[in-house]
Amino acid sequence: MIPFPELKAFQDLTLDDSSKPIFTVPAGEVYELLWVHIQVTTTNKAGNRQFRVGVYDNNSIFVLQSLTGEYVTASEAWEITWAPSYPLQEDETGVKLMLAPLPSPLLLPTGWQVVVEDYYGIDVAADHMTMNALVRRICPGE
Amino acid sequence: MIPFPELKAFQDWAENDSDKILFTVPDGEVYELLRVYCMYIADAKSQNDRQLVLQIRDTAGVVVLSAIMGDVVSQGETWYVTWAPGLPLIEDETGLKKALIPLPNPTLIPTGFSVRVFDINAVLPADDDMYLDAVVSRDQPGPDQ
Repeated sequence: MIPFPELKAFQDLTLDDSSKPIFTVPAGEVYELLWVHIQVTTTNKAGNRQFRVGVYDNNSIFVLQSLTGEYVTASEAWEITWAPSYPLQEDETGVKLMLAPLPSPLLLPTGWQVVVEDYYGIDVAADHMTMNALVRRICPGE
Repeated sequence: MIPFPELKAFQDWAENDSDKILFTVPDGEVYELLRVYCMYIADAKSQNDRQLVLQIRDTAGVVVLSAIMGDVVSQGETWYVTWAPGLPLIEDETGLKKALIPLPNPTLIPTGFSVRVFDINAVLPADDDMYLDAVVSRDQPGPDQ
């Protein structure tokens, strides 16, 4: 699958939003999700945020999630990365950086949607969450 | 995938520099980053802790991925740090100052994106020595990219 990879980057730098759709796989394509990276800055509103990458099928049924292993609390800044084969890693580095795994490979059929969000929705319209993701586009088989 | 792998090695052994752009993917190419190996020698002049990070930045300079080591490099220490897909995040459990850091599997990098390795604490960027070696597999982007 390496020759002639069709890479597509997704980026959402909108602030005051901790619940973002990343993409919906368009008709006639299959996506392999390579990574999702977010930078989060929370408001001073109390509450434990827990971030996840979620997958919905083409009937909007929630079919997969990968949750981080540690809470993000009020007035914190974190970087979180999801990727295939990553460990579930809390903040052992002390610099507010977490890792979370995805299936390897994470292939997504036409019409499926991927989101990244604060699972608890503590301050969805005020917490800052910027997002970058990369996929490999693939033509579906029969 | 065996036929005709176009491997390309990068090496930057310039001393007195702990903030390096390893490469920028040239026009008409896509890189798969296979590994980055770093020997880091922290100068004795500052006691502050260094922490190495590999960042991928897009064409606008926005950080789209960070991979940071799980331990710190202290004054006068020499560390050996490896980034690669499939590795666990390992601090210095061996006591030999060797750290492992995972990358996405695979780490495909589009045209115009760059890879930077540096001490995120910028303790002594013009005094610490950072030796970098990396290997990528070059490829052409698909026709729609």
